[in-house]
Amino acid sequence: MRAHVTALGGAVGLSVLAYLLLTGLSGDQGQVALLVVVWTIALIGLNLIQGLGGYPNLAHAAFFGGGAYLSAVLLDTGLPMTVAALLAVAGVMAAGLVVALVFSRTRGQYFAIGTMFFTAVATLVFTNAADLTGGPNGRPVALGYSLEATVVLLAASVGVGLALFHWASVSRFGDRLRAIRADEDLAQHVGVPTSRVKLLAMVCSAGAAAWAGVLFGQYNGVVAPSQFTFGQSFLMFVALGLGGAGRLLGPAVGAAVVIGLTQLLTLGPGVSQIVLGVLFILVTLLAPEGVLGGVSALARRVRAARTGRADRSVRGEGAVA
Amino acid sequence: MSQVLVNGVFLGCLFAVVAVGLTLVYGVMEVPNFAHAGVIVLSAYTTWSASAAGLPFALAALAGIACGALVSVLTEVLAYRWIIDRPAAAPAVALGLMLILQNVALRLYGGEGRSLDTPYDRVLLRLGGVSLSGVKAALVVLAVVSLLALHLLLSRTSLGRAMRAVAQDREAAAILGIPMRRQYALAFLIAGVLGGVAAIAYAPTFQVSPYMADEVLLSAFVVVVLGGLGSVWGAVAGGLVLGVVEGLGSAYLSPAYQSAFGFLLLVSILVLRPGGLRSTNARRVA
Repeated sequence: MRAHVTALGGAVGLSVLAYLLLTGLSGDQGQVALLVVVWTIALIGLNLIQGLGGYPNLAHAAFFGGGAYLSAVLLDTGLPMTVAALLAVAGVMAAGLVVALVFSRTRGQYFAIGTMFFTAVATLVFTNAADLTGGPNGRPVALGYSLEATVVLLAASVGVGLALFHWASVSRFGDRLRAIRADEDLAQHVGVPTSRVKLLAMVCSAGAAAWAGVLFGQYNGVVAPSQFTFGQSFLMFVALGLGGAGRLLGPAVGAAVVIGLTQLLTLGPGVSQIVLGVLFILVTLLAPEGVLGGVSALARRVRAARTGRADRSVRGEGAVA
Repeated sequence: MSQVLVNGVFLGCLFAVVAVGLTLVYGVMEVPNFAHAGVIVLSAYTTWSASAAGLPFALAALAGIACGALVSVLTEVLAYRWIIDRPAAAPAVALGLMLILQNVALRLYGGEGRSLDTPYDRVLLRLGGVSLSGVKAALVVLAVVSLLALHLLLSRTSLGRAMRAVAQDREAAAILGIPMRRQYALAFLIAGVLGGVAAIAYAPTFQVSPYMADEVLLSAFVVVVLGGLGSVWGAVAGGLVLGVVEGLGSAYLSPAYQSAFGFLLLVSILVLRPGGLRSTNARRVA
C-alpha cells in the first residue's frame, strides 16, 4: 500500500513540476523543459518493453516521429485535433504491432538491429515522401490545441503515464515482462504467453511514443526528419539505461540527464555526446541498474550499515523508487 | 542490366568486408559491435589527414588501416572485455562506444564532408557495355584479397583454428587451454583491419564524414543476420545478395530508398527463414 501511495505521489509531483517548468521557463530553457517532458512521456512507454521486458528497442524515435508527422498530416485534412491525435496514435500502434510481429521472433541484439533498421527506413520515408512530410527541411504543424491546452496535456500525460506504468508494473503483465527479461525460454516453459505479452508491451510502448510525438508537434509547431533519426533512438535507449530501466522514475531522470547534457552544456560540437557515451558506459559497467538503481543500492547499504544488518526486505521499495 | 549487377557486386563486396568484421567479433564475443562504424570513420579520417599532409596514398592508407586496428583493439581492451560475463549489457556499451568514436571524429575534423583523392581516381574500366570506376574496382580487389587472406588465416594457421574453436564453444575452448583474451583482442584486431580496408576503399566513392559509415553498418548488420551468425562465408554470400538486391532496387524502383530494400529483405528473411540463409548450428539467431 505504501508503495502505491509513494508512486502516485511521485506521479502527481512530477506532473506539477512539469507544469511549473513548462509555464515558468521561456526561450531556450523552455525548449529544454519541453524536450525533457516530451522525452519523459515517450520513455515511460519504452520502459515497458525495454525496462521491464529487457528488449533493446531502437524503433522508439520512429514511433515518436510517426505520431508527430501523422497528426500533422491528418490535421491538414480538416479533422478535429482530438480525432487526428487519436488516429495518429492508433496508426503508430498498428505500425508497432507489425514491427513487433516481425521482430519478436528475434532476441536481444537482433531485436536491436532490426528495430534500428526500422527507424532508419522511417527516417528515409520522412525525408523522401516530400509531398506529405515536407522533405528534409520538415513541415509546419497546424495548431490544433491552444498552447495552454498543450501544456496542460503535457503535464497531465506525465502523471497519467507514470500512474499507468506503475499499475502495469505491479500487475501480472509486469511480472510476465520481468519473467521474459530474466529468462524467456523458462518463462515460456512455465506458461507465460511470451509472444502475446511482448506484442502488447511493444504496442503500448509505440502508443506512448506517438502521443509524445503528437504533443511535441503541437508545442514545437514544426517537425523535421533530423529530430527522428536512429541517433535519437540510440539516445532514448541510452537515457532509459542511464535513468534506470524498469524503474518508475527512470524515464524522468534519464530524460533530464540526456537532454540536459546535450542541450545545456555548450562545450562545442560533439563533446556533450562524448561525455554521454563515457557516462553511459561507466553506468553500464558500474551501476547496471542505472542512476536510480545505483542510488537505491547505496541507500540500502547505508541503511544496512546503520541497522547493522543486511535488510533484504527493502528490495521491494527499491524497485519502486 | 549487367551494369546494375556490377554495381550490386561492388556494394556487396563493401558490405561483406564490413560484415565479416562484425560476424568475427560476434562469433568470439557475442557483441553487436555498433562501434565498428566509428572505427571506419576514424580510419578514413586518418587516411585523409595523412594524405592531406603530403604522404603518398599507399602510406596514408596503411596509416588508416593501422588506426582502425588500434581503435578496434582499444574498444575491446577498454570496454568490451569488462562485460564478457554480461552479454545483456553489450548493446548498451556498443552504443556508448559508437557515440564516443563518432563524436571524437566530429570534434577532431568538424562536420563537413571531405573528399579523399586517390591515384586511381580518374581510371575508368570498360568491358563491353559495362563501366567501372577505378575506385570501385579497387574496392572489389581489396575486398577479395583481404577476405582470401582471412580465409587462409582461419583455415590454415593455428591462430585461426583457435579462433574458430572459441567461436564454436567458448567454455570448451578455454578448458582446452586456448588463451581467451588473446583471441578476443585478435578478433577485434582483424575486424579493425577489415574496417580500415573498407574505409580507405569506399571513402573515395562517397566522402569522409563522421556519419559516413551509418548506412553501411546497418546494411552490414543485415548481412550478418542473412548469413547466419559467426559464419564468414555466410557473411560473404549475404553481402553479395544484399548488394545486388539494393543495387537492383535503387536502379529500377527508387534510389532514395536504397537501404529500405535491404530492410525488406531482412524482414522477409526473418519471416520466412528465421535461421538466416545459411544458418550455422553453433548459435541460435532467433
